Amino acid sequence: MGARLPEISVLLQVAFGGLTMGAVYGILAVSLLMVYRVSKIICFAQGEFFVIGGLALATLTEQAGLPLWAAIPVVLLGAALLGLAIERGAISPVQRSGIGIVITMTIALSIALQGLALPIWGRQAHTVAPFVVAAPVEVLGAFVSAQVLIVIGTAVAVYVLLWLFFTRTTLGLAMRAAAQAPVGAQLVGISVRKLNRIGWASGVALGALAGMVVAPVIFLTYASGTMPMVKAFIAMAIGGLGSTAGALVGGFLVGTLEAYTIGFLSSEFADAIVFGVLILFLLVRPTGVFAASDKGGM
Amino acid sequence: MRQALAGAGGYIALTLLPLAFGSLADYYAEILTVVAVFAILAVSIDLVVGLAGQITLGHAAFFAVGAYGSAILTTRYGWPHLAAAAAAAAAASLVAYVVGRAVLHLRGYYLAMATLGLTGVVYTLLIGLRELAGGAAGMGGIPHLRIFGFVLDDPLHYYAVVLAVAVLVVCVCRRIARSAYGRALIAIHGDEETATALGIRVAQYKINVFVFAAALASIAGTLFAHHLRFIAPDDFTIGQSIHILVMAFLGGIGTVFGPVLGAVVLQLLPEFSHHFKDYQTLSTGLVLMLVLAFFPGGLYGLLRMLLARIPRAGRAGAPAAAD
Amino acid sequence: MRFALSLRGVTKTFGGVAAVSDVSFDVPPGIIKAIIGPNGAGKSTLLNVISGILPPDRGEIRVNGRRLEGRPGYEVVAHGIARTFQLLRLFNNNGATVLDNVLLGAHSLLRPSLRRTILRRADTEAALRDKARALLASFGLEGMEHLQPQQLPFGQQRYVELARALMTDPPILLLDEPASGLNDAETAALGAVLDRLRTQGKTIVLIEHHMGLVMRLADEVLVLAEGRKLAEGTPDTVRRDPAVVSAYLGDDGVTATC
Repeated sequence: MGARLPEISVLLQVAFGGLTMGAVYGILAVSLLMVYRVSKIICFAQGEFFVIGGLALATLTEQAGLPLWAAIPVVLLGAALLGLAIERGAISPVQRSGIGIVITMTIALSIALQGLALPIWGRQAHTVAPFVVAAPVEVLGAFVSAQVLIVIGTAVAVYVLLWLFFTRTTLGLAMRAAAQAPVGAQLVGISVRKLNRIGWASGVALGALAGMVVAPVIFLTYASGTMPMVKAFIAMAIGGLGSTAGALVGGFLVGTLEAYTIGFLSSEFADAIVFGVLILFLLVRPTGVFAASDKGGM
Repeated sequence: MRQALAGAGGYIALTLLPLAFGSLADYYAEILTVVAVFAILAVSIDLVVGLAGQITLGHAAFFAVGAYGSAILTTRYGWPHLAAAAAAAAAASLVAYVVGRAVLHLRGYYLAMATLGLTGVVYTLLIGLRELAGGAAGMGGIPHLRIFGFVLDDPLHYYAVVLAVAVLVVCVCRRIARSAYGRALIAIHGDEETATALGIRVAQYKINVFVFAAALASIAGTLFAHHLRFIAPDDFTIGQSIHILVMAFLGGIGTVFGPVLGAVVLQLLPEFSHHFKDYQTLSTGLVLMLVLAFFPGGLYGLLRMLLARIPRAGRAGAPAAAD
Repeated sequence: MRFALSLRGVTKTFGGVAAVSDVSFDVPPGIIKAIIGPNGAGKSTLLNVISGILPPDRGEIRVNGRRLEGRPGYEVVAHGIARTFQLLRLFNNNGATVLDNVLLGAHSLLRPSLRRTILRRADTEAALRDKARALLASFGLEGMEHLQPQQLPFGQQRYVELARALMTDPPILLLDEPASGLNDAETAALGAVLDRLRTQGKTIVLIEHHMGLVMRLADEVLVLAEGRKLAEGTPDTVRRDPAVVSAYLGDDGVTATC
C-alpha cells in the first residue's frame, strides 16, 4: 500500500459494495428480529431461507421462465408457508425446552434445509439476471449497478413498511405487546400462537426477500447461507436485540467493515475481523448500541 | 471388577474388528481410527454442553490447535511427538482459558455466537499461516506418530492406540459425570443462582470444564494429524464445530456414551451410503430434528428404551422371548 | 452472648426503589425467628441479601460474629448458613434424582476438583449417601431417592429441599415460606419438623405468611413493611402492636385461636 490515500473513486466503490452487502445483512437481520420478537428464538437457519429464496427465484426465472413480477410473490408465498410449517413442526415441540435444545433445533433445521437444497440445486453456483436492465450509474468515478440500488432501496422499503406495520396497524401493535408482556397480551385477547405463526411466516419471507434481491449480485450455492446468517446476527447484536433500525444500521456497519477489510487489507482476514468485532462487541456491550427492548416499535 | 473385564474384552474385540474385513483390514482400521477421534471430540463436548449446559460452537478451534500444533512442532521443528502433543494441549487449554473467562458468562445465543466467532477466527488464522503451515492448501508430511521409540506406521497399530485413548477418555468423562463434580455441573445447567447458593463457584467450574474439554479436543486433533498426515483448514471450519455438536446431540446429550454412538453413526454413515451421498446432509438434519423434538435422550436413549423392552431371560435359563 | 445472625443498617435498592431499608436485628442462637410482613415488604430480598445472592448497598451482616455482607453466595454457605427457596429450586435436568439433589447440598463440604475426581481410587461418597438417605428417611421419603423431584407431590418436594439444606449440618437455616402450598396437615407436620430442628440446636430464620404456624412456633417475630422494620418481639408482643395490626394482621391476628 502506498503512502497516498486511495482515490475517492476506489473508496466509494468499496463503500457501495459495503452498502450492498450491508443492506442484505440488514434485511436478514430484520428477518431474524421478526422471529426473535415473537418467539425469543434466534433462528440459525435464517441463512438457508436467504439461500433458498435466491435459488428458488433463479429456478423460477431461468428455468420456468416466469417473469419477475410473478416469480417474486411466488417465492415469498412459498417462504411464508415454509415459515408456518417450521413453526408448527420444528419450533413448537421444543419451545418449552432449554435454550440449548432450541439453539440446536434451529441448527438442525439449517442442516436439513441445506441438505434439501443440495440435491435440488446441486453444488454449483446459481445466479439470477438483474431485475432491471440499465447502465450502471457513475458517482465520482465509482460505478453503482442498478441492482445495488434496488438492494439498498429494498432495505429502506422494508424499514418503512415495518415501521408502518408496528406503529400503525393493530396487528403490529399486538405483536409488540405480545413481545413485551405475553401473559398480559393474552389476557386482552391477543392470540400469542397466531402471532407466533405470523412472525415466523414473515421472518422466513423476509429472509427469502434478502436472498432474492441480492441473487443477481452474488453467486449463491446451497452452502452460502451460514456466513450471512452469522453476519446478520452480528448486525442484530450491534443494533441491540429488538430494534429494527438498529438491525439495519448494524447490517450496514458490518457490510461496510467487511468491504473495507476485503478492499484494503485482505479478503482472508475479512471474516476474522468481523468475528473479532463480534467477540469484542459481546464482551463490551452485549445489549447493543441501540439497547432497550421497545423503542417506539422500531 | 466385572465391568473392567467386560471393558477390556470390548476393547480387544473392537481392536480386532478391522481384521474381520480380511484384505480390507487396513482400510477399515483407518476409518475406525477417525471414528475414535470424533468420539473423543463428541464426548469432550458433552461435558460442556450436556452436563454444564453451555452451548459451544468453538470445539473445532481446539481440535485445530491440537492438530496444527502437533503438526508444526513435529514436522517443522522436529519435536518429540509426545512433547508436541502436550504442548499443543497446553496451548489449547490456554486459549480455552482466556476465551472462556471472557465469554462463558454469556448466555444462550451470545455464548454460541461468541464461540462460533472463535472457530471463525482460528479458521481464518490457519488460512493465513502460509509460511508455517501451508495456508489454505494445507500441510502435509506429518510423520507417523512415534511414542517410546515405536513408530506407529501400521494402520492397525495406530488404530489400537487411538482406540485406547478414546476408551480412556470415555471412562474419565463418565467418571466425571457420575461424581460430585458432575453433579455440580448439572446444577449449573439447571439454575446457576441456585448452584451458587449451594456453594458452587459457577464461573470457575464452567471455565475448568471448558478448558478440560479443549485439552481433550486438542488430543483428538493430535491423533487426527498423525493419522491423516495431512491437514488443511477445511477440517476445522464452523461446519466442523457444528458437526461435533450434532454428533453429541444425535447420540444423546449428557450421557457420555450417547455422543460416542453419535460419532459412530455420523462418521460411518457416509461409508455405507455412497449412493445417497447427496441426501446425507438432509437425513442428518431431519433425524436430528426428530431427536430433539421427540427423543431428547438421543439414539442412546432410544437404544436403551428398546433394550429394556426385551424381557430378560430368566435365571433358570428360560428361553428369551422372541423379539 | 454471641448472636447467630446480626444485621445492622442493611439497605438494598433496585433502581431507586428501596426494597430493604435500614434493617437491623439480632438472632440469638437456637431460636426460631419469623419474618412476616405484607407482600412486597422486602422479606425475600432480605433473605437474598443475607444468603449472598445479592450484595447490600449498605449495612453489616454478621454470622456467628463474622462479617459476611457482600460475600458471594457460594462463600456464605461455607460459613454455616443453608437456605431453601419460596418457589422450589430442585434440579430435574440431566436425570437428576432426589438423591442427587440432596447430595448437592454437601457440595460446600466436598469441594470436588477435576483432578481429584479423575484420580480418585475408591468410592468416597458412601458415607455421604448414607447421610442423605437418613435425612430423606427422617422426612418420610425413604425409597424415593431414585425418583425425579418433579415426580413427587409438592409437599414432599419441599422436604427434599429441606434435606438438601441440612446436608452440611448448618447451624443456621434460612427458610423462605416453607409452608407455602402445604395443606393443614402438612403444615402441622412441618411445624413439628422445625421444632425438632430447634431442639437439635439449629437457629432458624423463616419468612412465612401462615400466621398460625408463626404464632405457634416462633420464639421471636420481626415485622417488615415497605422495606423497613415495623416491630420486633415475641409473637404475643407483635400481635398486640397496634402499628402491626393496622399495617398487616388486621383482625385475624388479634383473634387468632391457634
